[in-house]
Amino acid sequence: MNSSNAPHAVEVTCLSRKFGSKLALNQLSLQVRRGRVFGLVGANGAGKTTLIKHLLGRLKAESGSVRVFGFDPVAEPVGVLSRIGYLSENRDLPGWMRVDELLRYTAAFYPNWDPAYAEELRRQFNLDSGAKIKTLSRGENAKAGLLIALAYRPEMLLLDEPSSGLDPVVRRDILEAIIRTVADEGRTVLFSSHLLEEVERVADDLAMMFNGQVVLAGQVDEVKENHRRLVFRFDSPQSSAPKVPGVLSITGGGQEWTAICNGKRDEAVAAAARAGGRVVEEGPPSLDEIFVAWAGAKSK
Amino acid sequence: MHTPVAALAWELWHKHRTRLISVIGLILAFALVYPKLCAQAGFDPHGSNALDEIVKKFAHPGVSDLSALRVLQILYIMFLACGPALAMILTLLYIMWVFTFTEFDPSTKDPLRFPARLFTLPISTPFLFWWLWLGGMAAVAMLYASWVYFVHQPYLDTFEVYQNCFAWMTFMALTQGIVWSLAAWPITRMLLLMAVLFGLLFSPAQRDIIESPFVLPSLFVLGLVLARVGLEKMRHGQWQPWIWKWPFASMSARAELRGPKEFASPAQAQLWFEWRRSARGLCFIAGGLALIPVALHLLVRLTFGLGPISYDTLFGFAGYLVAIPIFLHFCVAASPARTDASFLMLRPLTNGQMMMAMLKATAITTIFLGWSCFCRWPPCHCWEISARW
Repeated sequence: MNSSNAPHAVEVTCLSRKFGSKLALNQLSLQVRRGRVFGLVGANGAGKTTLIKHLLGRLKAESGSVRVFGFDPVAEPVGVLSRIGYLSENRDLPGWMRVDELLRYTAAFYPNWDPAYAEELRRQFNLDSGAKIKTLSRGENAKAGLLIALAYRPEMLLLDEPSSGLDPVVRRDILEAIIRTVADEGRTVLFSSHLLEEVERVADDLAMMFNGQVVLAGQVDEVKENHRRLVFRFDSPQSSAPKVPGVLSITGGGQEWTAICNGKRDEAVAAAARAGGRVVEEGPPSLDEIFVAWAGAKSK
Repeated sequence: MHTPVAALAWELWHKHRTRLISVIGLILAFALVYPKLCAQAGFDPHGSNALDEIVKKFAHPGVSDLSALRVLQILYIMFLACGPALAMILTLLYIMWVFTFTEFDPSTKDPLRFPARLFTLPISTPFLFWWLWLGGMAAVAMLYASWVYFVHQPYLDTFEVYQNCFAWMTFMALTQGIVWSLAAWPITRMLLLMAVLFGLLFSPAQRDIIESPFVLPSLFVLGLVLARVGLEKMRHGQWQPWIWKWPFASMSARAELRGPKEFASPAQAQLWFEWRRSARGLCFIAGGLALIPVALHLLVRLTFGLGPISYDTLFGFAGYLVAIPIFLHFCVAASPARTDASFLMLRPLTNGQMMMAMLKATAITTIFLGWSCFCRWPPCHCWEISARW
């Protein structure tokens, strides 16, 4: 298949990876459609960075396959990396370079580098071109990393924890605006984040990772629609969490318990009714609540 | 900077420019000033017995006092005799480090970390490898030629072995091979680098090995292969560090089952802390440092049938084994401030208690270090005696 015609920007099939005895990725499969903003969420150690390293060819698949725009990132790193703008979690930039030197240096590797756009971004990010990278604050460092990832208009922007170190204003006004701009131009964005409200605001699709596996994937709206948040009131106080089949998690105390269920709403309501409970409140859960519910369900 | 080749060259130059300019300055200084200093001292570096001449010039028979002037005179003699050769060795070692493209990583304190950002640039591994490898070889050859052609060094039998460009290129290939292929095993990497450096520094005493037609070419090819494979594996994270288990892990696990071990006093806990922090690891490092060069030397001698060890080499080994504990303690003492300093400052201990714990840990380490180094000596000596017999 011609890489430019590959329907998906990213296609991962049954990917597994071990570090010593720890299974970092376990038969993980994932697809990212072109032109979409894809959010990757998961707790620390879920395998997000390991997955991103596989997409960059920084790790070779032990089993399974990884394709980025139809290319194998290990066999054809140049083909993949020339299409990706990457911002690493730990902002791995050479501290001894000045900002303008960093821009000139990075430009040499990308034929599509747009100096006017780079300058525009530098001004937008309020970065002093004469400042050394090591003198920049954590937030400015992230901006410098983002600048060099964007300035050649890559087909896919790959951001590993981009919000890390950025204050809320920068996060909202710059990062999210850039992600939307890139997506509006028909390019793909894949980013990992702990901040679920951010994913909810920005992403079109998401995948939740837990212990090296994708436990939930789909469009953000669909994911939210498929889950329900139900508040039950029981006739008598419950000493422990009531057993309600079909719910992912149930929390609370006494007579009032809150459950998150995934598409089995009627089954859960019926089961609660048998135990003497009735629904007093119902609505769509936040992504945060869905994530906590899935993480709790998977860790049991 | 319009191409990756130019950009990488610029990065290398810009990162090291001050020190590279210093190297050029050093060569120029030796080329221009050194002959004048020799002439002033009435010393002809091209003479067949230049060293004897200069020693006679400064030696005053019957004078045994060591006045400051005399010490300076001796140091000056040593400088005239060995200065150019030592400067050449140090600058060549520096240029080798430059072409490993590594840098100090403040988060892990790794002095030889290859920057991962290079692997996210759209350049292929063969391109990166050949750029660094050929660049390194060219730099070594150019630097070597500069020293040989511009600086007239006095003939010294001891330094003759270093007057071999291919030996330096082999050392460059081995350095790149070790640094890149063992990136995931920093302690093993350090031990092997020390062993190779040891081999280089003691090569005048092992001239028969260096001059063998098989040794240097084999090591050159080994270095090339290791470097090529190592860079590829490092890029794709294929060589991950082993999670090494402490030999008494099962015993400690049993201890944990019984519950946490209690220390009799804060001082004892502090002693355990100091021992666990670095002293235990030091013993293993010293053991490895003592074992690897001796074992490699014996292996090479056996493989190439080079006969018994000379007394000079044995003497060299003895000096090396004595130097290891001192060197290691120096490294630990001179290492950057530990990140757990603030953690320690919060302990309800006096400065005296903390100091005592450190001294006790040092004493224990010194005993272990001495033991782990000198237990290599008798087998080596016995092997030599049996070989001679």
